[in-house]
Amino acid sequence: MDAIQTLIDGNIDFEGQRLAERLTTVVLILAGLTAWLLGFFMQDLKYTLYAGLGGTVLTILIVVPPWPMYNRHPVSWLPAGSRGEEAGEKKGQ
Amino acid sequence: MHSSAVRLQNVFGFFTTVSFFVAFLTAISVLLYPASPSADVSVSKVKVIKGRPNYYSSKQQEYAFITFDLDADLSSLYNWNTKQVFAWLSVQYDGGENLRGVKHSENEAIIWDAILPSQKTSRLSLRNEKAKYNINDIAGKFLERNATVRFGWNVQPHVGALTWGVIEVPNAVAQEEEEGKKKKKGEGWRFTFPPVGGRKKSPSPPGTSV
Repeated sequence: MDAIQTLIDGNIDFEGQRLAERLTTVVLILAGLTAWLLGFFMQDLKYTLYAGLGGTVLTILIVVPPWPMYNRHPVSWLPAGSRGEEAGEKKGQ
Repeated sequence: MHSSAVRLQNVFGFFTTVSFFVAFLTAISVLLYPASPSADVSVSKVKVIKGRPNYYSSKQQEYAFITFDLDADLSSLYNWNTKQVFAWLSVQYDGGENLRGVKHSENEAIIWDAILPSQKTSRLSLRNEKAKYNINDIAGKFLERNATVRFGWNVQPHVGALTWGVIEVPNAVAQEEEEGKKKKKGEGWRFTFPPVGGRKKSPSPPGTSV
């Protein structure tokens, strides 16, 4: 059950979130431009429609699932129970 | 962007923005295709008869039956963003200030129209075409007034604004008429409503006129 929950949540690390956001922007803009140019030069708006929708589906496939590339910088937590001491040390310094 | 649901939402949200811009570019790309349609009309026959609006009506009014030739080339109106073109012919005539009982100074009635869904249908060549709509005057009488035919078109795009245009008596023809030259083509665009039942010069035998 936990495994299914993890799969649905699809959590990724902070660097992965930055990458996912950038990929969303770049791939969607490229898909939009390609779609427009394709339709314009083929002189048929159908190409624009299908290229645009295809590009969006591609973006969803790239960005939405928690691919391994989004989890290459896992957050390394401090060891349990050491928080107070370390914080105290830092304050002390 | 930490979970799948948020990423999906984000992608969809930006997709709507991108599609708006693509639609906007598509809409303004129409400016690259200037419209230069041409049309030539020639009214070949006009008949005015008396009739009733429906079977039960006691009101009598005049109806004009018009037959015309039309040559039009609307292929310049078609580009990748054209869904369909609507074209029509209308008859325009003034109120005839000297005519008693006529108070409507500008009259226009559509006599024929067509939806042209693709470039294949963009060249029109009609011979002795009967008007789709038999027109009647708002006052019930045409009173042998002078009329002009206008050709109108309307482009309906997939994305963007509708564009409209009218082709009236061609300038060259109008100028020729003004200078008193031969009215070779101009006759086609202008005509005079005949009296009820036909011309007086050649009266039809009694009993035939309605």
